[in-house]
Amino acid sequence: MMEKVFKVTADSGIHARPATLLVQAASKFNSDINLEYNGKTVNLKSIMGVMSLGVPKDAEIKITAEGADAAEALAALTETLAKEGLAQ
Amino acid sequence: MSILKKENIVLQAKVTDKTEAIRLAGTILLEQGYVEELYIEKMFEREALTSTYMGNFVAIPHGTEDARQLVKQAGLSIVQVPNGVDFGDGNMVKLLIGIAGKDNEHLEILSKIAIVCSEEENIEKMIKATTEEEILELLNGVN
Repeated sequence: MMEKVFKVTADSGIHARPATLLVQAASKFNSDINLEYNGKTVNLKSIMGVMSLGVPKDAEIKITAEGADAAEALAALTETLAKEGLAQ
Repeated sequence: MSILKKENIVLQAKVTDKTEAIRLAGTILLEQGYVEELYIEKMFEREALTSTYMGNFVAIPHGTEDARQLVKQAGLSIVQVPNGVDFGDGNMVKLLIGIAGKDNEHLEILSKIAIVCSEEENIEKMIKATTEEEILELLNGVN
């Protein structure tokens, strides 16, 4: 399993549109991808799951990926988070 | 004024398309005094960026981030469309939850809605509800 920790930089946190973008990016990969925040873990391929966390600005989040394309998935998600100004 | 009340719910709505459905969700928020009229245009603007379809037959139309100044008070509108309305890409929506959020309340409201809607059983109940009270009860935690 691979994992990476990020700090949320977007003022509005991870609301509906960022959640949708992350889920779209994660869904391109076969690996199991999860998002952890505040002791809770959700499937990063579920918009409802990601939104249910209510991740605010300055939060520390962890993305984990397990599967043959885990490395590619983490790289793509890192790029999405940076490009959208969501987290780094 | 509470975020969600009976008057914010429309059961058995008949809409011909996505535009009409979003306009209805926005008009409820306007008529019940939660938002300025321009907020409805901002809901269409937001929808054009990325669909607010969330899966499980649910869409959560809301304004763009810069539209928060058009929100007088946080509120929700519920539009039940039993026959479904096409939100594009083959996604059928049977329940619209219109959202007017201010400041940081927005994240909290989204989170609570997502927790309720993660259970397919809850969504099925809301789509089949015959009284406003049934929906209010399911979304009780959001208020």
